[in-house]
Amino acid sequence: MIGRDLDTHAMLRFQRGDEAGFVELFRRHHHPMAQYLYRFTGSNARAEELVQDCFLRVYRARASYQPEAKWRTWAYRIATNLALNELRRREHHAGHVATGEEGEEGRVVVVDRGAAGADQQAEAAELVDRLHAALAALPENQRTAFLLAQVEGFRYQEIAQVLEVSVGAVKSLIFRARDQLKAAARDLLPEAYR
Amino acid sequence: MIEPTPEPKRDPPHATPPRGGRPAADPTRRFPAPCGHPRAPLSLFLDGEAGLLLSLRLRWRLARCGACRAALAELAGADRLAAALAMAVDPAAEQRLLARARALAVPVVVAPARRPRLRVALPVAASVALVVVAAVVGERLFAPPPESTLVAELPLFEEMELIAELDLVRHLHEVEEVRLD
Repeated sequence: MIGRDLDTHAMLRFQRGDEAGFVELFRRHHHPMAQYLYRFTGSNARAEELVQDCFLRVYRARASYQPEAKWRTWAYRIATNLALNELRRREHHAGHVATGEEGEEGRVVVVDRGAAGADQQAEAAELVDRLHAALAALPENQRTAFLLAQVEGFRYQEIAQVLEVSVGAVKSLIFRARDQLKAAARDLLPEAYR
Repeated sequence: MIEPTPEPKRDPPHATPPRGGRPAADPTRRFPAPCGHPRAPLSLFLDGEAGLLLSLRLRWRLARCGACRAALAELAGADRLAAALAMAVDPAAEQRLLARARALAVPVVVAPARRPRLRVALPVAASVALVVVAAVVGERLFAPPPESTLVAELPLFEEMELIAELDLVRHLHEVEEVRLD
């Protein structure tokens, strides 16, 4: 039996009609979920939209919510499915992603905060694109498992619930993701290896 | 002249994986580092999922094996890669979400003209139903049982039989008188 956490309590309050429970959930999870979805989709704007969609689904599903698992496991399963649907939709419209037509609105350069000149900003933007491309090259389930563990600090047991696989499979997925990313990390972030 | 093929290097003694361990299918046993140690447990170590015993063994190994330390640093590079990507969240997102959510919420609509009717009709119907039920139940509860009715009617039958007998007797007298005549 999973103990009821703060999120589950907030959701149950919301289920009884207290909207403050919903607001509490959003405030607690907006930022981390947006980071997760940003790494997943490679777009700031899309990540924000997906967070909104995810919470709207939570809002709609309040009546049928059953506290059988941790709230965040449930919510991140919704968020992951939305992200995967979004990616598949984008893959369907091939070329759009490959050419990076997102525009600059969705990019926040954090790798090189000191970049002042246009050239440096362009370099930083290119680096961000390449980092996203490295993540995007991972198979979906590896990317999901890795990002949930690395970005969100999910335990393997929780990731197994989100992905509906065994814990052993999660171990393998995360290791393979790290193994695949290590070369890209060495190339793109060489200063970390000096 | 063809140079002889060099013999493959043997693993150093410390690189031998622990014996009597898990089955070969366990992913944490595969993908060895150049030293021969499996690298997969290092991924568990990075995520704090290695458990106490395995963590101690890995710490001991990392302290002594340069190849394992290099493998750990490589795997940790993937985490750095993901951590290098971050976005600033929209501060107005909460208000936007609440506005959208409230617009989605379907209010319970009750027609105002029907409301007073329902308020009156329901209690009246309930009262009538209660009275009917009480009457039926009361009738059944307080009505005398069928046996008592028969018992009450018994004397009447007896009287009737007596009268019938008297009539017969009288009639017999008349018959006898006729015969005697």
